[in-house]
Amino acid sequence: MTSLPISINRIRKVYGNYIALDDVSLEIRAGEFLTLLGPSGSGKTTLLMALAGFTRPDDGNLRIGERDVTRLAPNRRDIGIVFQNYALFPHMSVLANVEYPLRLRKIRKAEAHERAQAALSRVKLDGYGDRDIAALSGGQRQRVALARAIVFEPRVMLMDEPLSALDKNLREHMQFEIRKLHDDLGITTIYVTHDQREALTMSDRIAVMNAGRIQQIDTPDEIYHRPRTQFVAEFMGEANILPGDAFSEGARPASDMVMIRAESFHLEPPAGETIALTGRLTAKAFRGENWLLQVTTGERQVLFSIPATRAAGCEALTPGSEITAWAARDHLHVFAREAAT
Amino acid sequence: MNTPRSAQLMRDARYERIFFLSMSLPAMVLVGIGALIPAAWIIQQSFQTLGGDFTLENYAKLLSSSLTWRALFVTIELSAATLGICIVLGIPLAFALASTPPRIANRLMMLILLPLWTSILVRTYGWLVLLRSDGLVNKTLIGSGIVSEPLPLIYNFTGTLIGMVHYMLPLFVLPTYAAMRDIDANAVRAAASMGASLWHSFWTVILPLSMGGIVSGGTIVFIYTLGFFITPAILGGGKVAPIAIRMERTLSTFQNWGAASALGVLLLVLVAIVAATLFGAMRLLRRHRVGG
Amino acid sequence: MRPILKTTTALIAGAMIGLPAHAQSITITTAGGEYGAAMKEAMWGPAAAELGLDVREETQSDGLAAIRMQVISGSVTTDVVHLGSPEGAQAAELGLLEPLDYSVIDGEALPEGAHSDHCYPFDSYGTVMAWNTRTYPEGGPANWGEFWDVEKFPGKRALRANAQDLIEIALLSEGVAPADVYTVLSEEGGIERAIARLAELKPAVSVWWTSGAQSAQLLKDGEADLVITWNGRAQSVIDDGGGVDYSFKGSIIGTDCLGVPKGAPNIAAAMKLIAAMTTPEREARLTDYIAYGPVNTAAYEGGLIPGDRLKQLATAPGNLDSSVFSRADWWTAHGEEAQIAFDEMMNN
Repeated sequence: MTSLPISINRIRKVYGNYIALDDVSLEIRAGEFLTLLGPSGSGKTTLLMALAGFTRPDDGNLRIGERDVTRLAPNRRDIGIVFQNYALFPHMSVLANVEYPLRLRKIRKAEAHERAQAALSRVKLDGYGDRDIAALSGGQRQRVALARAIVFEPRVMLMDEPLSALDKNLREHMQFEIRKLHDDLGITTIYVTHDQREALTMSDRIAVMNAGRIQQIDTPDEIYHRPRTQFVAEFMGEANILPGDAFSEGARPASDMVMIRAESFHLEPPAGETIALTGRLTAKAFRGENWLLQVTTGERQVLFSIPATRAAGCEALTPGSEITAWAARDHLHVFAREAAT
Repeated sequence: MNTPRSAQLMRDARYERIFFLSMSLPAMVLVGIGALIPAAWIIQQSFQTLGGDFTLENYAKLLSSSLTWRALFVTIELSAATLGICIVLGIPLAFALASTPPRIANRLMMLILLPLWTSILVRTYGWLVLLRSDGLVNKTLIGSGIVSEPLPLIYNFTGTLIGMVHYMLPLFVLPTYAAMRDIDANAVRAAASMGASLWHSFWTVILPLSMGGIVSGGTIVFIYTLGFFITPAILGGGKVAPIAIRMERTLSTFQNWGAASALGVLLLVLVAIVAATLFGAMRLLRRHRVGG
Repeated sequence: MRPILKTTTALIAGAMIGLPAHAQSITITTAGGEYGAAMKEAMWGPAAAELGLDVREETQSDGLAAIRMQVISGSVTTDVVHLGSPEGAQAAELGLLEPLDYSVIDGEALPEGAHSDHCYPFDSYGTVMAWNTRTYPEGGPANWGEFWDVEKFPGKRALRANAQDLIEIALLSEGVAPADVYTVLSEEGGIERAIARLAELKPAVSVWWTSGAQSAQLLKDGEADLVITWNGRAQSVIDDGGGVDYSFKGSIIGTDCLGVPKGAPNIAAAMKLIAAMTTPEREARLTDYIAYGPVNTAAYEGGLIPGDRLKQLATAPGNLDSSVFSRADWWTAHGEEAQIAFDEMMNN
């Protein structure tokens, strides 16, 4: 199956006074799994809907492969879409749902049937063809939606928070399945989510969006450890953002803004070059895999996340006591000055 | 398990059920008094002579009269034609409404429902003024040279049909619109993404999913038209005589309650047949799915 | 149960009659409204004063239904009831009315054809031909024959959707003499003949109207050029300034009448009241209030009614030769047959 690259060039969309997309540009490689990540209202769904053709941009252009699709009707874009609420046809059986795009393409009945069965089998729904949509669980419905989106072999797949209605365990399981499906089929996929863990788990690259702009496009590792902006740093996980001189050991100039993740800290100094923070404990919480310690240093609050496996002594800590935590120096991320907003 | 506590809880549950049942009592009494008693009275009257003795003569006369069959035919003809036009005009209208943003659609819906707040008599006379030979419609048609003679738009079947459709259209559009409004917009988008044109999604997704509203709207229109009196009486010019008109004539010219009641029972039976048919259709529809 | 009730009522009624000194109390049932008020002012008010009766008025829009209820339930409270003559005939047929006492009431005052044994006619209206004066500036049809003549009088007709009066008119249009109309209608095939004549006119009939107001509207709007309607309705259009005229030539005269319900408490007094209400003076007086022509022919004598009012009354002198009094008893006997034949003609 050939898949196509997608090129998003200076797309703009304004609703009244509200700028939903502010000159967004983005290149997605053929066969790539790219996630649009951001809080609600960041423009990620608007961008997806513009790609699908359901939202008309005010300016800019969209290309799929060589083809400019900016003004193309949605039904001519050849895109498979999976919606958050599944968007199945409740008046049709599971099989009829999956056959729907094939029937539209006037594919012979026998072949359509065969291909729909194969798609159902790919999403592990063999034997469900005769069921009513109403008789399926949420997870099964999402699988039908997936089967329906892949069965006509689209060049591009768009997924709009497809797992957000599922419970946590099922969601984590489906993350792997969708990724595997993508690896098997190689369809260029744009995936929208507000769950940073989901984005990190599934993506080749992540585009973090905020206020109608793309903040950073990078691999999960880069995004997590070397965020370009404070927004990205805080959105991706528990981040301590401090001036360089806040450290009791390994301090930097006060004009440097630095970021260090909460889980980088240890209660004992690790080997190698270290930095240290000292402060007064204000609150603590046990979260299963770790202890979370809230500490005040100067006027700032910082968070230490100590893995449960090396958290001996956390239990005994009392609020008000002074503690020091260390981290490897190379875990410290210094923001580039012009981007540190 | 029959502990004292479980007995108490069961009693509580029973009281709760009785309480909620009793809340529906006023409505049930009203239906009883307002619908069942008159119906029973009409049925009783239809089997009585003027003197109050039992007779089958009312029915014998009714069923042997060509006037009855003619009235029955006209009744069904008028109902079917009204329904047909309501479907043809109402479905696109409901679809257009359902496709506009809710705030605008709600205002448009108010406009569509506005006629329902006006007296039916006023509206029917309004049509009389608009459609008569020197009325606005004919003047416009003649003035623009489309016709040379005024078209006979009132005091016939055409006029009656126009009046009926005007009255019934909102009643059809309302449930149809509600059903279309309830359709998941993403389902329509999904169809488009898979390659369906608007026309195709309309037939394969929108129409089947709004069928419930269309059938209930259609049922309201058809059954309501079956017994309608005012519009055919005013706009029919005496030339359109459905059952309701025959009933009125039987009463006003013969003072024959027995014969009029028998006609009433006939209408009741007709409504029951139509309702049962449509009810059955609804159930079939609910069970029916495409493909599979 | 019922006989006991009856006896009790009779006892009470008897006791009341037996009461001395007081004016006798007697009840009249009218249609109320303007009509009822006019009857009080012109007719029963003065009559009661003359007779020394204490008259109570009840109003009922459907007098026939009211007295049927009273007679069937055995508690008759009405002594005199105002009915349309067709209802009067129906009531008589159903045995709901006492026979009129023509030793008290003046039967001689009634014109030929208006006589009734049970319900005494006192005022009248005509079913007339009315026409649009813009369509026919030269004047309307001279008679019903011309009304039927669609070549001489092309134009849209509007007729009442009811056989009553129309089958009489149909025969008049064929040249049947007014006095012979009911004879012909009662003959074998008489009704069919009238219906066939109506069927000839049917293509020219654009509306079969069902209410008097509607017939007036049709005239006023010019939606129909020739309308058979009631004289009061035609007059109202003229009064409104509509370009309309009408003629009493060949009109069918309908009457309202007074009757005494079977078993009324004060039958004798009721007869006297009817007689006193229908004197020429009092019937003439009624026309001061409404344009219903007296049936008592003497009311037209002695200049009791002003000249301009005379023109609006169906029974005015000069109209009677060509007119036909609608015969309520004929309609009671043949109405259903005629109406069914008419409806079939209309709906085919």
